[in-house]
Amino acid sequence: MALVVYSCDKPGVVGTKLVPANGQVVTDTIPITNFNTSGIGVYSGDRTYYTVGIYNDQLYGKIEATGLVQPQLVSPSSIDTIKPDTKISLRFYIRSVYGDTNKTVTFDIQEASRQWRGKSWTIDQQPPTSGNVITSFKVGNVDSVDVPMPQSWVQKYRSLLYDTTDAAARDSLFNIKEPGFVIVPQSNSSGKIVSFRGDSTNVMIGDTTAVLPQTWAYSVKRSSEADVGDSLAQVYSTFSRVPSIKLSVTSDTTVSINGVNLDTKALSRVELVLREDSTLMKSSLPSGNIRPDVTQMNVYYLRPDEINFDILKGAISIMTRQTDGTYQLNLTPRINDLMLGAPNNGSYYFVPQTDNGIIYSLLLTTPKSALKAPKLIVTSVKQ
Amino acid sequence: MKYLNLIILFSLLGTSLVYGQQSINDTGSLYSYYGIGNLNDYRSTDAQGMGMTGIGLFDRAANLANPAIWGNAYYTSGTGGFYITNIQSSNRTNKTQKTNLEPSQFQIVFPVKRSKIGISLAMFPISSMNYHYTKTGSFNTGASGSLINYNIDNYGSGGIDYLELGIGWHINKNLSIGYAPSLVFGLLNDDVQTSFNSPSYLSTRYIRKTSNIGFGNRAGIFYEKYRVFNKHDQLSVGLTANMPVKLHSTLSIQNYITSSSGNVNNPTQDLKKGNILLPLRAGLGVSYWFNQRIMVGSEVLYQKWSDFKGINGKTESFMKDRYRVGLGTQLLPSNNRSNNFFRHLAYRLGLSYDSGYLKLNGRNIQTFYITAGLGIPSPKIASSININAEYGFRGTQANSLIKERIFSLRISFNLSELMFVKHKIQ
Repeated sequence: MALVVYSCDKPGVVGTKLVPANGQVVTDTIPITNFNTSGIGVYSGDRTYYTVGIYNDQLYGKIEATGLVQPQLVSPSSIDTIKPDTKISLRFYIRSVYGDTNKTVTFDIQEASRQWRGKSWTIDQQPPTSGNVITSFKVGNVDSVDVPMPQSWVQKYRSLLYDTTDAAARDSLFNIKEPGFVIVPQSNSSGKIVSFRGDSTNVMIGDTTAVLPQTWAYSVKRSSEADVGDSLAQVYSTFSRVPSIKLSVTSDTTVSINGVNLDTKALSRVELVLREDSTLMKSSLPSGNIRPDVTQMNVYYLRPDEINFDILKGAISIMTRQTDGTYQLNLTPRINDLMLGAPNNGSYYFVPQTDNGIIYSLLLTTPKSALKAPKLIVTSVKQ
Repeated sequence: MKYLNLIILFSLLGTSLVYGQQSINDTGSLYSYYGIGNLNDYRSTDAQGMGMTGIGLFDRAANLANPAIWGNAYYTSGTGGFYITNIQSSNRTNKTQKTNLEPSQFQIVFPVKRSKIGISLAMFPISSMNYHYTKTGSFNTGASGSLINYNIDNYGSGGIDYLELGIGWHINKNLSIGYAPSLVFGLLNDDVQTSFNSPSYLSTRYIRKTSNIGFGNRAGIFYEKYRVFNKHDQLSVGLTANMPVKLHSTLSIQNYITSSSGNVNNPTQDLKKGNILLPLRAGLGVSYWFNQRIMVGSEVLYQKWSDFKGINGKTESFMKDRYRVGLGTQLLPSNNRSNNFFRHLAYRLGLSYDSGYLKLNGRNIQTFYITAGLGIPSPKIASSININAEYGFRGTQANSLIKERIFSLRISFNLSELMFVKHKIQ
């Protein structure tokens, strides 16, 4: 569909009606045809946050998130601060809440049953729970929680600290003997998911000494997602399901995008518009419940050989949410690059908000949507 | 007067080196958008002041109008110059003013055999495309609903030029003939630049270029007779014909594309190849000297522009045959030595009517000119400076057209010298 934009003579310029309207500014709307949702990389370790809890979202399904965190040994200079009667606690800083904000939920801290590595942890991996609950704690409507560790664990920690049989290998020994904690939501304590700041889940020795964690991660089990039909798609920030589009751009004397010939190469703006279904997103959320707020989408341009790995490549752009529930991306420089011969062997991937360990969810319209399908709006000057 | 020859020589060199168009403020005529641009009639510099081209006018300076006249050359003559044109365009509500500075023509005529055979080398424009217009518009963006304003500036430039080498033969005391083949070439550009008032929208630019090259032929006959009605009079009649020219043309487009790194690339791609057909041009001119002081002349030009074919091989509905009629006179107050500077000058006056080759919105785009000129001769040789002024009107305000009031000041330098002749020792 093309719209010829109205134009008129500039005041003071004579006779421009005499000559044809060379260079009409025209707006074309091009449908997005190659739209997919897929999981391309499910790594969840060492993000800024890790997430724990159970919440039954009517729209996005039942989410069961389990956290993992591994402390590290106190530095040798601080060894003397740990006496037999020293109090040790785990401190959690809460950044984000998903669900009923006023609900108090209970999490168990279990000993991890085996060693694990945050860098290679994937979101669908089975957490190494041992069933051995060290302690439990409650999270209400607070910013942080200090969880006192039982004396049995304090003694274990001290014994590893003061193990002088092989001082040089003390850190390695610690990792083997203390593979960390699994933060497991109690099965009867659903209604709220919280995200803890990873690098601030400290082992607090007394009131003053904080020992930073070594690594952290989380696993998510999602089930019973609502059937939203093929005109909508549930997408998540965890790369476990993200939308992607691939543009077909051919350039000769004019440029064609997705098979639509624009009759020009003078492109002023190529704008990709994705749209959320704000109405359904709001209506599916009970009163007093919230979801992590999505204000933008991060855009990645990835080749086939770059997916299914931990996505370390930076986002190429950010699509900010507009007041009408659309997300817009200026693709003009990319399309211009393609016209100049750059390879077009990748796809655009869109991550709600960002993959930072908090679970962001979004309900996007798909090309099957009758009125609000994703589209390209191209403003060009016809040649 | 002593330095006149030097001034003329440097001016000739200057105009031959700077062959292009310079705009002083805004540019040109919107009518030059059509066809091959506004037509430039190549003329004798003397005839410019008389509303004619000089087909039937013998003058001592190089005369571009009729190849037959080159056979009469006695001196080696060079001519060149420039002109300043001010165009005031108006429709029923608005008025705008534009001024251009352009070189006119460059020609050297060598007498191979004095007053018998002459060779001419010349370069001159036959058309110029020179316009600038701006269109404005606005649109609402879909999502945010903000109003975006834009300007589209169209700049037309270029023209068709002749590079010509010809010969004239003065067969006998009355009759001369001439022939001149030429290389016809030129580039016609339409530069479209669009800018928006929002940084979210990239400015765009593209240039549609039509490059043309072909070969032309023209021939002329010149007849002169002394003592026709009395013992001091002289009658000259000239006839010229330009054969149609098939230009091999390529339409290309140069896009200015800004990459993601911010570099602007401007690749050019050919869009179409074809032939542009420039039509037959014929002219008839007559001049009559009552005596050695007073001359009157008249001429008519005809061009069959209805035969013009554009690059798509089709005729254009807005093009029609063109007639141009000129009538002029020249007065030489004295042909004797006199201390009065003004009695040495040549005074010229003329009128012309040009039917034009465009018919737009149902109206012929006609031009009327009143011309006046001064010839400032060198006291010892045949060199001169011609200053010619034209004042005219083109087009009409009716039918959404524009009327152009045109004032041109043409300055031509004619250097005539006996070259390759050994001076005798006194």
